[in-house]
Amino acid sequence: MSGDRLLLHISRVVVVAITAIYLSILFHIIIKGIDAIVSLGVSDITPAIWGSLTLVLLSVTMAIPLGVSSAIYMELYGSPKIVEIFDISFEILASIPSIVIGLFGFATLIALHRYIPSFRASLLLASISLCILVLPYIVKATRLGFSETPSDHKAVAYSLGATKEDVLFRIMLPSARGQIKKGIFLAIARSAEDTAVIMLTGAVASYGFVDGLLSPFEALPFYIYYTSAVYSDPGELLSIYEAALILICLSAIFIRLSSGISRGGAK
Amino acid sequence: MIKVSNLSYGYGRKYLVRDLNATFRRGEITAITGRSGIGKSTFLKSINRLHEVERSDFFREGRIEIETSTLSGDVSSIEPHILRRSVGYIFQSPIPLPMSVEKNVSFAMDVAGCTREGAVRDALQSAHLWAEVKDRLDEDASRLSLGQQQRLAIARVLVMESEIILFDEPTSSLDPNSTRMIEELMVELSKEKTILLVSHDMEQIGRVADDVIALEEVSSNIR
Amino acid sequence: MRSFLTLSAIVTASIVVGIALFLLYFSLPLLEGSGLEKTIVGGGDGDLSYGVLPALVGTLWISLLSTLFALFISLFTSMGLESLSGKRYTRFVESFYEILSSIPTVVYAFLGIVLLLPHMRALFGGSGMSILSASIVLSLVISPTMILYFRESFSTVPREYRVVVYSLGGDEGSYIRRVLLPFRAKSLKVGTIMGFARASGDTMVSLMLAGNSLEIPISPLDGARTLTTHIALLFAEDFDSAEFRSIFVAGLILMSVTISIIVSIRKMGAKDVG
Repeated sequence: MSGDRLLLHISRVVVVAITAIYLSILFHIIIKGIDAIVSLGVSDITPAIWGSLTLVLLSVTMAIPLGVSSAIYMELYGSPKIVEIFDISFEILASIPSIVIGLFGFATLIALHRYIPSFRASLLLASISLCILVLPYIVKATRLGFSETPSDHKAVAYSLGATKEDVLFRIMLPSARGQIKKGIFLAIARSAEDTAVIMLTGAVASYGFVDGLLSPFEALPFYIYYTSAVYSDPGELLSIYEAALILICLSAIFIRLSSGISRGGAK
Repeated sequence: MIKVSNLSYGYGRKYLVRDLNATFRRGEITAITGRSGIGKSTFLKSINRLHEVERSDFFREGRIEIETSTLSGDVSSIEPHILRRSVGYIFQSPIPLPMSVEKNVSFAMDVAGCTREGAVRDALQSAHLWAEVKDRLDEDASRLSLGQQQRLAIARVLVMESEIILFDEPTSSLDPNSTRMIEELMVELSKEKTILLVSHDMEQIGRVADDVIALEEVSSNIR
Repeated sequence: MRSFLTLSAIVTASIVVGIALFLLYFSLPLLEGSGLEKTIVGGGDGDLSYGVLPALVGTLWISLLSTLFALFISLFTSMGLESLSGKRYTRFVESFYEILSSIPTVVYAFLGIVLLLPHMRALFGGSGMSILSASIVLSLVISPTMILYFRESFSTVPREYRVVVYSLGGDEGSYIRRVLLPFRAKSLKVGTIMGFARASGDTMVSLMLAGNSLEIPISPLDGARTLTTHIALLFAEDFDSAEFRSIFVAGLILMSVTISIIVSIRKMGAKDVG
């Protein structure tokens, strides 16, 4: 059998095998997760669910204005050199391991705690750190949206007496709306699933419901991590599957909604 | 009125045109011709400073002075967006903004912050488009035919009551019927306004222009 | 309005600088006190608890091994999908991989605990946690993204090439091996680097599956910690201890590696890879 045919056969075997492995993993978790929800109810993990939702809401809400403004600045007011520096900074920020971002949040805590004793590892700190984590997604999406705005439309608007700001609000932002939305969905998915950042900035194993910005909190990914290390009975093990299933659904939905951006640009 | 004195311009280090002198008056249509690429569009864009939006290596020497009932002076001394309210521009291919017909026409007013009752209707009527779109004002403008879109572009400019209008090969992508309509419009508008027309079509120029300026090849064109 | 924007931009851009500065600032006492060598290798008298060298070695082991596995998996899966492309189910399969790529790493890690570790325990004894376990699971984590990336780049190859290969007597295997892969070698490289970057930055899989041992690992069956898990494990230590300070050194190393990869990718001219 020639090398070409061998390669072909191996690839086909691998595709089937790998897809089968992944499929069985997925089925396993779906089935056990549903079993868990049905037999346990969600009461165990409800505080974690609320914690995660609050976390996502806060961090993404902070990231949107910050990210969009930065992208606007880069598009309209920055000199080429400044834009290049910003580009690299965001690229680096997007690639830094999330635990390092958590470390930064933690370090900020240490630094500020001296002056503001009430500032603790808390929902606030974790939200800010997560905001930093997802900022690059928003910036990138906004920039992409701007770059896709037809330059014809901008030229026409300028010719009709529009200023830079007019063009921004009336032409560019409306045109970029789709991409920005996609970036936001990506940010939501990312902030919901992250464990490393919140581990260092305020997530705890059990606290109950979120009761303030400056208090510790529970979250789904952390629940999964913690419980999988210390579970002592089958019930607890099952509850992890619940948390995992909910998290997967959340992530899958938002990533699906956000897909379509990365369709171009491979090579 | 526009008065051009000793105008030279180009990109980077190359001159496109040197020492152009011309006066454009109210009530006249002046055609601008010249071979392809010589810079006719660029000439127009230097009057309303639209080139600034496109390329950063454009340079200009000499003076371009305009005089209208609201503005006077060299174009470089006037705020670009204010300048462009008095100097309208019609592009070669009609570019409807991604909005409704009505919003397209009112755009310039919205941006300037001064909407007038009925201004949209007046502008569309002056552009000979009102009858065709009066029931479609909320429709997306890109659904109009090319000829209609170009008249829409003219209505867009008319709403500002600009005294100067620059036409950049406005009929090159249109069918003969629409072309005729646009030409009639130009002649009508030229009674009260200063019109400049860039065109390749000698017959068109023969039909509508009162005067012609031919841009010539520059002999020595390096700065 | 403009000043608000400028302020926003400055704030966001300075975050990266801020991170670097913080890491340096907190590492400094350790670097000065014990010196660079000790910081990497660990305190004298055999105390290895704060040296980052074991973690560094662990990171290298796990990242390289998992990227290797992932490359094999992704490459052959992409090639297999390519040879099946045009059939109706390939689009379904690609959506499937998109879903897989959205599963959080902590979930993969958990599944590794319940599905993989028992087998590892049976085969090799002990707790089952090791570099190998972590690498296997990590490779499954990063493969879907790599597969999607490779598929994306394969899909932009002109259809004509395939026809030409057939007309010259070749088959799909010939097309893939002699035309497709060489033609897309650059994105294969970029995809692999991306995978490696993700693997080296992972925390949860290594934390939950690699065993967190303190010693320098010598075989794939050893337990290990990584630079990332080093940080996760020691951040609750005493503030003034050397152990605590060493997490910033680990962070510094991670950040420097990230920056070098980014800069070299930009030099290679590869466009943003989403």
